[in-house]
Amino acid sequence: MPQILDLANLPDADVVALAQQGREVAYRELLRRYERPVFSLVFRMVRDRTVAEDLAQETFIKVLNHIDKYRPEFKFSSWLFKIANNVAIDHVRRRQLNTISMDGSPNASTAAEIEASSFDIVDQSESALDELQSRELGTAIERAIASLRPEYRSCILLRHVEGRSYEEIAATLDLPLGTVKTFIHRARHQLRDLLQDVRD
Amino acid sequence: MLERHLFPDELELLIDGEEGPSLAPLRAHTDECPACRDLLAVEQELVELLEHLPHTAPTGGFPERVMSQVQVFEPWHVAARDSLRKLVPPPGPWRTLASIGVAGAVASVSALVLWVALRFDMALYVGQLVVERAQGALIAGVGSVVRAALGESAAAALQTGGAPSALLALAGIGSALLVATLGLRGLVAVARRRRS
Repeated sequence: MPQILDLANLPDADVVALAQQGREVAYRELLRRYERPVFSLVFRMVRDRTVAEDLAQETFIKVLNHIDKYRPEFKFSSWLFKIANNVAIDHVRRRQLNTISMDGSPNASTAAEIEASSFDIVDQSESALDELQSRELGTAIERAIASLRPEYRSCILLRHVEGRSYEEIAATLDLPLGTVKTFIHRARHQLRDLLQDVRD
Repeated sequence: MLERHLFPDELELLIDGEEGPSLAPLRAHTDECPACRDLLAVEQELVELLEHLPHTAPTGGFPERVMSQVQVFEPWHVAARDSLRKLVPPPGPWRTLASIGVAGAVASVSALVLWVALRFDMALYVGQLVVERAQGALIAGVGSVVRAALGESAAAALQTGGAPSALLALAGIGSALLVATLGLRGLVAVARRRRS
């Protein structure tokens, strides 16, 4: 049986095949690989850390409990992001979170909740001024992304944050390729307009 | 060189960093046209900013919380293979001995099967003998159950009737047990309902 160190070098398809044979280490490897990307996607969609944790957890439970149903003709990551996106979009639609404050979730009522739902932009700049500027820009981008329509948000996050191809995004979101391209173009256009002041 | 500004689709190709000879005129145009060059620069800057957004991590213990609710699915053939693997001794003299033993057993069984196959008439006779003995044992077993439950006369009737009577008697006993079980369950359910 392959050890944990071996698993880290295996492609997703092989790790999934091991998980389908009931290897718990393979389940854990898939979790290790995707906990951050899935959590980030969901967090940027719902903008509430507690809710994002619950939704990311729900995503992984759904995926791992139905790993035997996974069909290898699709990319595992596409399947995973599809479920994560559906879970997040369902939540956004239920809560009607169309306009979101960058300074915390609109559902936050206590200081702790506001802190939990605020973005913390990690920075690696050299000077304090750089750090401040970078933090402001990062915050502005997050705020701009949060103001996009959920469909645009999913597309732009998958394309430019997760580095997925247009075809993968189309398969993940069950959208025609042309629609994906249009959504990404419009999202970039809106982001460009929203960030104009910060850039200037 | 293109005599017009780039279309959005053409701009997308350049932003996505696509390569190919068809993009040469587009690149040549951006070199010459300040408006398209500026637009491309702004788009590329935005893409770069997006690509450098950090991944956010969930709180500690996230994998454990997920795994506590995941049922690790192990197919029966994998479980069987693992169980067999556990029986295999670790490499060394014991494994060599075990291999020789298993090889010897396989060879003996194969030889026996071959010998039986070459003497088909004898195999048929032994088969019939085994079936008759099994039938006799079954009838005797059912007979003793019937004798204990219904008395000597019922057992005598069963003996004269042979295998069909034995099956009929078994079906009767099974049905009686089923009816009794269902009746008891019904009574328990009624009692629970009344209590609640």
